[in-house]
Amino acid sequence: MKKNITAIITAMLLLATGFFGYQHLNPQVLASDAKVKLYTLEDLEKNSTAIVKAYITEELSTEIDFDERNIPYNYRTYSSLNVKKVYSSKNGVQEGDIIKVVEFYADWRELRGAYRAITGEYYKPLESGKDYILFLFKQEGNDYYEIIGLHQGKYVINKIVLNEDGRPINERLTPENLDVQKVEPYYIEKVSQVLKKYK
Amino acid sequence: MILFFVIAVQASAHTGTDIYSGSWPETTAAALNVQVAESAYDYYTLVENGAFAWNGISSKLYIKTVNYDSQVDADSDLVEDITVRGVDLGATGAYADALNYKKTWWGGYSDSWDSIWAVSRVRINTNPDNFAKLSNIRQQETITHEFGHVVALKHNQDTSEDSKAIMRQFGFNDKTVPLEHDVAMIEYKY
Repeated sequence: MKKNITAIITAMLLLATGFFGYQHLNPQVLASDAKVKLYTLEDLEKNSTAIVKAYITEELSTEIDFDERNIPYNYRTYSSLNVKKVYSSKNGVQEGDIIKVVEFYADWRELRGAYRAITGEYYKPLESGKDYILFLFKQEGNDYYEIIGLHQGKYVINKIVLNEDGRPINERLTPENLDVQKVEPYYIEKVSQVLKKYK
Repeated sequence: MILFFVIAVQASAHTGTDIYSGSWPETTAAALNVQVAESAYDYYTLVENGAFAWNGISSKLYIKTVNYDSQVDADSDLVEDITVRGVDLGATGAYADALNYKKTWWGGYSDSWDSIWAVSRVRINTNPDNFAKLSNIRQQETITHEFGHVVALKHNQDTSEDSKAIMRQFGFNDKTVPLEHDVAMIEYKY
Protein backbone atom coordinates (compact mmCIF):
# COMPACT_ATOMS: atom_id res chain seq x y z
CA MET A 1 0.00 0.00 0.00
CA LYS A 2 2.78 2.37 1.05
CA LYS A 3 4.67 1.46 -2.11
CA ASN A 4 1.63 2.29 -4.24
CA ILE A 5 1.17 5.69 -2.64
CA THR A 6 4.87 6.50 -3.15
CA ALA A 7 4.62 5.43 -6.80
CA ILE A 8 1.51 7.59 -7.35
CA ILE A 9 3.10 10.64 -5.70
CA THR A 10 6.31 10.14 -7.71
CA ALA A 11 4.32 9.83 -10.93
CA MET A 12 2.33 12.98 -10.13
CA LEU A 13 5.50 14.91 -9.30
CA LEU A 14 7.10 13.76 -12.55
CA LEU A 15 4.03 14.77 -14.52
CA ALA A 16 3.88 18.19 -12.86
CA THR A 17 7.62 18.71 -13.40
CA GLY A 18 7.28 17.67 -17.03
CA PHE A 19 4.27 19.93 -17.64
CA PHE A 20 5.62 23.04 -15.94
CA GLY A 21 9.12 22.37 -17.32
CA TYR A 22 7.60 22.37 -20.80
CA GLN A 23 5.70 25.59 -20.03
CA HIS A 24 8.97 27.24 -19.01
CA LEU A 25 10.97 25.99 -21.98
CA ASN A 26 8.28 26.97 -24.52
CA PRO A 27 7.07 30.49 -23.80
CA GLN A 28 3.41 31.12 -24.53
CA VAL A 29 3.13 33.91 -27.07
CA LEU A 30 0.30 36.36 -26.43
CA ALA A 31 0.07 38.23 -29.74
CA SER A 32 -2.68 40.77 -30.23
CA ASP A 33 -4.41 41.53 -33.52
CA ALA A 34 -3.47 45.08 -34.32
CA LYS A 35 -4.64 47.65 -36.85
CA VAL A 36 -1.60 49.49 -38.15
CA LYS A 37 -0.96 52.06 -40.83
CA LEU A 38 0.36 50.50 -44.04
CA TYR A 39 3.71 52.09 -44.87
CA THR A 40 5.07 52.05 -48.41
CA LEU A 41 8.84 52.21 -48.78
CA GLU A 42 8.42 55.89 -49.61
CA ASP A 43 6.43 56.41 -46.39
CA LEU A 44 9.08 54.57 -44.38
CA GLU A 45 11.83 56.75 -45.84
CA LYS A 46 9.84 59.96 -45.34
CA ASN A 47 9.01 59.17 -41.72
CA SER A 48 12.41 57.84 -40.68
CA THR A 49 14.63 59.85 -38.39
CA ALA A 50 17.35 57.37 -39.34
CA ILE A 51 17.69 54.41 -41.69
CA VAL A 52 20.44 52.11 -40.46
CA LYS A 53 21.94 48.65 -40.57
CA ALA A 54 22.33 47.56 -36.96
CA TYR A 55 22.50 44.65 -34.59
CA ILE A 56 21.33 44.26 -31.03
CA THR A 57 24.00 44.44 -28.33
CA GLU A 58 22.02 44.33 -25.11
CA GLU A 59 18.50 44.14 -23.77
CA LEU A 60 18.32 47.09 -21.41
CA SER A 61 14.97 46.88 -19.64
CA THR A 62 11.40 45.69 -19.83
CA GLU A 63 8.35 47.55 -18.58
CA ILE A 64 5.15 45.62 -18.03
CA ASP A 65 1.86 46.39 -16.30
CA PHE A 66 -0.64 43.69 -15.39
CA ASP A 67 -4.31 44.17 -14.72
CA GLU A 68 -6.32 42.74 -11.84
CA ARG A 69 -6.53 39.36 -13.61
CA ASN A 70 -2.78 39.26 -14.16
CA ILE A 71 -3.18 39.96 -17.89
CA PRO A 72 -0.51 42.30 -19.32
CA TYR A 73 -1.98 45.47 -20.81
CA ASN A 74 1.06 47.68 -21.20
CA TYR A 75 4.46 46.33 -22.13
CA ARG A 76 7.62 47.38 -23.92
CA THR A 77 11.27 46.38 -24.07
CA TYR A 78 14.24 48.69 -24.58
CA SER A 79 17.45 47.45 -26.18
CA SER A 80 20.73 48.97 -27.29
CA LEU A 81 21.79 48.59 -30.91
CA ASN A 82 25.14 49.03 -32.57
CA VAL A 83 24.90 50.98 -35.82
CA LYS A 84 26.95 49.27 -38.55
CA LYS A 85 25.94 51.51 -41.42
CA VAL A 86 23.90 54.70 -41.83
CA TYR A 87 21.84 55.05 -45.01
CA SER A 88 20.23 58.30 -43.97
CA SER A 89 19.92 60.33 -40.82
CA LYS A 90 18.08 63.49 -39.89
CA ASN A 91 19.73 63.76 -36.48
CA GLY A 92 23.38 62.91 -37.02
CA VAL A 93 23.44 59.20 -36.14
CA GLN A 94 26.80 57.79 -37.20
CA GLU A 95 28.36 54.41 -37.86
CA GLY A 96 29.51 52.86 -34.57
CA ASP A 97 26.93 54.72 -32.47
CA ILE A 98 25.03 52.81 -29.82
CA ILE A 99 21.36 53.74 -29.96
CA LYS A 100 18.35 52.83 -27.80
CA VAL A 101 15.31 51.22 -29.41
CA VAL A 102 11.90 50.40 -27.99
CA GLU A 103 9.91 47.33 -29.08
CA PHE A 104 6.33 46.68 -28.06
CA TYR A 105 6.81 43.27 -26.51
CA ALA A 106 7.80 41.81 -23.15
CA ASP A 107 9.07 38.50 -21.83
CA TRP A 108 8.32 37.37 -18.30
CA ARG A 109 8.22 34.26 -16.22
CA GLU A 110 5.82 33.03 -13.57
CA LEU A 111 5.77 29.84 -11.55
CA ARG A 112 3.38 28.34 -14.12
CA GLY A 113 5.52 29.14 -17.16
CA ALA A 114 7.26 31.62 -19.44
CA TYR A 115 5.34 34.20 -21.47
CA ARG A 116 5.89 36.66 -24.28
CA ALA A 117 3.37 39.42 -25.06
CA ILE A 118 3.64 41.08 -28.48
CA THR A 119 1.68 43.89 -30.10
CA GLY A 120 0.55 42.65 -33.51
CA GLU A 121 0.39 39.29 -35.20
CA TYR A 122 3.40 39.83 -37.49
CA TYR A 123 6.09 41.40 -35.34
CA LYS A 124 8.93 39.29 -34.05
CA PRO A 125 11.39 40.95 -31.66
CA LEU A 126 14.98 41.68 -32.65
CA GLU A 127 17.40 38.87 -31.87
CA SER A 128 21.11 38.96 -31.20
CA GLY A 129 23.41 37.59 -33.86
CA LYS A 130 21.34 39.06 -36.71
CA ASP A 131 21.84 42.20 -38.78
CA TYR A 132 18.78 44.32 -39.56
CA ILE A 133 17.94 47.22 -41.81
CA LEU A 134 15.80 49.42 -39.62
CA PHE A 135 13.59 52.39 -40.39
CA LEU A 136 13.63 54.28 -37.11
CA PHE A 137 11.58 57.15 -35.81
CA LYS A 138 12.52 59.25 -32.80
CA GLN A 139 9.65 61.16 -31.27
CA GLU A 140 10.52 64.55 -29.80
CA GLY A 141 11.42 64.28 -26.13
CA ASN A 142 12.29 60.58 -26.23
CA ASP A 143 15.80 59.17 -25.78
CA TYR A 144 14.87 56.11 -27.83
CA TYR A 145 13.79 55.20 -31.34
CA GLU A 146 10.84 53.12 -32.39
CA ILE A 147 10.77 50.80 -35.40
CA ILE A 148 8.27 52.33 -37.81
CA GLY A 149 5.01 50.42 -38.25
CA LEU A 150 6.05 47.41 -36.11
CA HIS A 151 7.31 44.71 -38.53
CA GLN A 152 7.14 47.11 -41.50
CA GLY A 153 10.28 48.97 -40.44
CA LYS A 154 12.43 45.88 -39.72
CA TYR A 155 14.24 43.73 -42.29
CA VAL A 156 16.61 40.94 -41.38
CA ILE A 157 19.40 40.58 -43.91
CA ASN A 158 21.27 37.46 -42.95
CA LYS A 159 18.86 34.89 -44.27
CA ILE A 160 17.23 36.38 -47.34
CA VAL A 161 18.76 35.39 -50.66
CA LEU A 162 18.14 37.54 -53.71
CA ASN A 163 17.97 36.15 -57.24
CA GLU A 164 19.51 37.79 -60.33
CA ASP A 165 16.62 40.30 -60.57
CA GLY A 166 17.27 41.43 -57.05
CA ARG A 167 14.10 39.78 -55.75
CA PRO A 168 14.09 37.41 -52.80
CA ILE A 169 13.92 33.74 -53.72
CA ASN A 170 10.34 32.73 -52.94
CA GLU A 171 11.11 29.44 -51.20
CA ARG A 172 13.21 31.37 -48.73
CA LEU A 173 10.33 33.67 -47.72
CA THR A 174 9.34 31.74 -44.61
CA PRO A 175 8.42 33.46 -41.35
CA GLU A 176 11.66 32.14 -39.86
CA ASN A 177 13.84 33.57 -42.61
CA LEU A 178 11.93 36.85 -42.72
CA ASP A 179 12.06 37.12 -38.93
CA VAL A 180 8.31 37.67 -38.59
CA GLN A 181 5.59 35.70 -36.82
CA LYS A 182 3.53 35.41 -40.00
CA VAL A 183 4.09 36.49 -43.58
CA GLU A 184 1.89 39.19 -45.11
CA PRO A 185 1.98 40.09 -48.83
CA TYR A 186 2.70 43.82 -48.48
CA TYR A 187 5.72 42.97 -46.37
CA ILE A 188 7.16 40.61 -48.98
CA GLU A 189 6.87 43.36 -51.56
CA LYS A 190 8.77 45.73 -49.28
CA VAL A 191 11.43 43.10 -48.47
CA SER A 192 12.17 43.01 -52.16
CA GLN A 193 12.34 46.80 -52.47
CA VAL A 194 14.31 47.35 -49.29
CA LEU A 195 16.95 44.70 -49.90
CA LYS A 196 17.43 45.90 -53.46
CA LYS A 197 17.94 49.51 -52.40
CA TYR A 198 19.72 49.16 -49.06
CA LYS A 199 22.80 46.94 -49.30
CA MET B 1 -33.07 21.59 -56.84
CA ILE B 2 -32.38 25.23 -57.81
CA LEU B 3 -32.91 26.29 -54.20
CA PHE B 4 -30.42 23.66 -53.07
CA PHE B 5 -27.89 24.93 -55.62
CA VAL B 6 -28.31 28.56 -54.48
CA ILE B 7 -27.86 27.58 -50.85
CA ALA B 8 -24.78 25.51 -51.70
CA VAL B 9 -23.20 28.38 -53.66
CA GLN B 10 -23.93 30.88 -50.87
CA ALA B 11 -22.42 28.55 -48.28
CA SER B 12 -19.28 28.03 -50.32
CA ALA B 13 -18.86 31.76 -50.96
CA HIS B 14 -17.74 32.23 -47.36
CA THR B 15 -15.78 29.36 -46.00
CA GLY B 16 -15.21 30.89 -42.62
CA THR B 17 -11.52 31.51 -43.21
CA ASP B 18 -11.77 34.95 -41.69
CA ILE B 19 -13.16 33.89 -38.34
CA TYR B 20 -11.48 32.48 -35.28
CA SER B 21 -12.39 29.00 -34.21
CA GLY B 22 -12.64 30.22 -30.60
CA SER B 23 -15.95 31.37 -29.15
CA TRP B 24 -17.59 33.09 -26.27
CA PRO B 25 -19.78 30.73 -24.24
CA GLU B 26 -23.27 30.90 -25.73
CA THR B 27 -24.83 32.71 -22.76
CA THR B 28 -21.94 35.21 -22.60
CA ALA B 29 -22.12 35.95 -26.34
CA ALA B 30 -25.79 36.81 -25.93
CA ALA B 31 -24.99 39.44 -23.28
CA LEU B 32 -21.43 40.77 -23.51
CA ASN B 33 -20.43 43.62 -21.23
CA VAL B 34 -17.80 46.23 -21.96
CA GLN B 35 -15.92 48.28 -19.44
CA VAL B 36 -14.06 51.44 -20.45
CA ALA B 37 -11.09 52.36 -18.29
CA GLU B 38 -10.28 55.92 -17.31
CA SER B 39 -7.29 55.80 -19.66
CA ALA B 40 -9.70 55.36 -22.60
CA TYR B 41 -12.41 57.68 -21.32
CA ASP B 42 -11.78 60.25 -24.08
CA TYR B 43 -12.91 57.57 -26.53
CA TYR B 44 -15.97 56.38 -24.61
CA THR B 45 -18.47 57.33 -27.32
CA LEU B 46 -16.36 55.69 -30.03
CA VAL B 47 -16.22 52.51 -27.93
CA GLU B 48 -19.96 52.57 -27.35
CA ASN B 49 -20.69 53.00 -31.07
CA GLY B 50 -18.03 50.46 -32.10
CA ALA B 51 -19.30 47.81 -29.72
CA PHE B 52 -23.00 48.25 -30.41
CA ALA B 53 -22.33 48.25 -34.17
CA TRP B 54 -22.08 44.45 -34.00
CA ASN B 55 -25.59 44.04 -32.56
CA GLY B 56 -28.49 43.05 -34.77
CA ILE B 57 -26.57 40.76 -37.14
CA SER B 58 -27.19 37.55 -35.23
CA SER B 59 -29.63 36.83 -32.42
CA LYS B 60 -26.83 34.89 -30.71
CA LEU B 61 -24.50 37.88 -30.48
CA TYR B 62 -25.39 40.90 -28.39
CA ILE B 63 -23.22 43.50 -26.72
CA LYS B 64 -25.41 44.45 -23.81
CA THR B 65 -23.63 47.23 -21.94
CA VAL B 66 -20.76 49.65 -22.22
CA ASN B 67 -19.80 51.17 -18.89
CA TYR B 68 -17.18 53.61 -17.75
CA ASP B 69 -15.26 52.68 -14.63
CA SER B 70 -12.75 55.17 -13.23
CA GLN B 71 -11.34 52.44 -10.98
CA VAL B 72 -10.41 50.01 -13.71
CA ASP B 73 -6.86 51.32 -14.09
CA ALA B 74 -6.22 50.62 -10.44
CA ASP B 75 -6.82 47.31 -8.68
CA SER B 76 -10.46 46.59 -9.16
CA ASP B 77 -12.80 43.66 -8.99
CA LEU B 78 -15.18 45.43 -11.33
CA VAL B 79 -14.10 43.58 -14.43
CA GLU B 80 -16.43 42.90 -17.31
CA ASP B 81 -16.01 40.46 -20.17
CA ILE B 82 -14.31 43.08 -22.32
CA THR B 83 -12.08 45.85 -21.00
CA VAL B 84 -10.92 48.81 -23.09
CA ARG B 85 -7.81 50.71 -22.06
CA GLY B 86 -5.74 53.55 -23.42
CA VAL B 87 -2.03 52.75 -23.76
CA ASP B 88 0.89 54.49 -25.51
CA LEU B 89 1.73 52.09 -28.34
CA GLY B 90 4.14 54.47 -30.05
CA ALA B 91 3.89 57.22 -32.64
CA THR B 92 4.13 54.77 -35.55
CA GLY B 93 2.79 51.64 -33.81
CA ALA B 94 -0.66 50.11 -33.81
CA TYR B 95 -3.69 52.40 -33.80
CA ALA B 96 -5.37 49.86 -31.55
CA ASP B 97 -5.34 46.14 -30.88
CA ALA B 98 -7.37 43.35 -29.29
CA LEU B 99 -6.77 39.95 -27.77
CA ASN B 100 -9.15 37.37 -26.35
CA TYR B 101 -8.11 35.12 -23.48
CA LYS B 102 -9.17 31.79 -22.09
CA LYS B 103 -8.98 30.74 -18.48
CA THR B 104 -6.44 27.96 -18.04
CA TRP B 105 -7.01 24.95 -15.81
CA TRP B 106 -3.68 25.51 -14.07
CA GLY B 107 -4.52 29.09 -13.18
CA GLY B 108 -4.48 32.45 -14.89
CA TYR B 109 -5.39 33.42 -18.42
CA SER B 110 -3.71 32.72 -21.71
CA ASP B 111 -3.90 34.02 -25.25
CA SER B 112 -6.48 32.09 -27.13
CA TRP B 113 -8.11 32.82 -30.45
CA ASP B 114 -9.07 29.15 -30.66
CA SER B 115 -10.73 28.22 -27.36
CA ILE B 116 -13.60 29.23 -25.14
CA TRP B 117 -13.02 32.86 -24.24
CA ALA B 118 -13.28 34.26 -20.74
CA VAL B 119 -12.19 37.87 -21.22
CA SER B 120 -11.10 40.23 -23.96
CA ARG B 121 -8.73 43.18 -23.85
CA VAL B 122 -8.85 46.09 -26.28
CA ARG B 123 -6.20 48.81 -26.28
CA ILE B 124 -6.37 52.20 -27.98
CA ASN B 125 -3.10 53.97 -28.74
CA THR B 126 -2.93 57.19 -26.71
CA ASN B 127 0.29 58.44 -28.29
CA PRO B 128 -0.58 61.99 -29.46
CA ASP B 129 0.89 61.32 -32.94
CA ASN B 130 -1.03 58.15 -33.67
CA PHE B 131 -4.74 57.33 -33.22
CA ALA B 132 -5.47 60.90 -32.15
CA LYS B 133 -4.33 62.14 -35.57
CA LEU B 134 -6.91 60.05 -37.45
CA SER B 135 -10.13 61.67 -38.62
CA ASN B 136 -13.16 60.99 -36.44
CA ILE B 137 -14.63 58.57 -38.98
CA ARG B 138 -11.35 56.57 -39.12
CA GLN B 139 -11.12 56.50 -35.33
CA GLN B 140 -14.63 55.04 -35.29
CA GLU B 141 -13.75 52.57 -38.04
CA THR B 142 -10.73 51.43 -36.01
CA ILE B 143 -12.73 50.89 -32.82
CA THR B 144 -15.51 49.02 -34.65
CA HIS B 145 -12.75 46.93 -36.26
CA GLU B 146 -11.31 46.01 -32.83
CA PHE B 147 -14.73 44.89 -31.64
CA GLY B 148 -14.85 42.72 -34.74
CA HIS B 149 -11.87 40.83 -33.29
CA VAL B 150 -13.61 40.65 -29.92
CA VAL B 151 -16.62 38.95 -31.49
CA ALA B 152 -14.42 36.45 -33.42
CA LEU B 153 -13.42 38.03 -36.72
CA LYS B 154 -9.92 37.86 -38.15
CA HIS B 155 -8.45 40.34 -40.59
CA ASN B 156 -9.85 39.36 -43.96
CA GLN B 157 -7.20 37.36 -45.79
CA ASP B 158 -8.33 38.23 -49.31
CA THR B 159 -7.37 41.87 -49.77
CA SER B 160 -9.62 42.11 -52.86
CA GLU B 161 -12.48 42.09 -50.32
CA ASP B 162 -11.03 45.03 -48.38
CA SER B 163 -13.72 47.41 -49.62
CA LYS B 164 -16.39 45.08 -48.18
CA ALA B 165 -14.72 44.58 -44.82
CA ILE B 166 -14.24 46.75 -41.77
CA MET B 167 -11.84 43.96 -40.77
CA ARG B 168 -9.33 44.93 -43.46
CA GLN B 169 -5.85 44.81 -41.99
CA PHE B 170 -4.53 47.97 -43.58
CA GLY B 171 -6.17 51.15 -44.76
CA PHE B 172 -9.70 52.44 -44.32
CA ASN B 173 -13.07 52.34 -46.05
CA ASP B 174 -14.29 55.41 -44.15
CA LYS B 175 -17.26 53.38 -42.90
CA THR B 176 -18.07 52.93 -39.25
CA VAL B 177 -20.23 49.81 -39.19
CA PRO B 178 -19.70 46.16 -40.23
CA LEU B 179 -19.72 45.77 -44.01
CA GLU B 180 -20.94 43.03 -46.34
CA HIS B 181 -18.05 40.62 -45.75
CA ASP B 182 -18.07 41.19 -41.98
CA VAL B 183 -21.82 40.53 -41.80
CA ALA B 184 -21.40 37.32 -43.81
CA MET B 185 -18.65 36.16 -41.43
CA ILE B 186 -20.74 36.90 -38.34
CA GLU B 187 -23.72 35.07 -39.85
CA TYR B 188 -21.47 32.12 -40.65
CA LYS B 189 -19.98 32.09 -37.16
CA TYR B 190 -23.14 32.55 -35.13
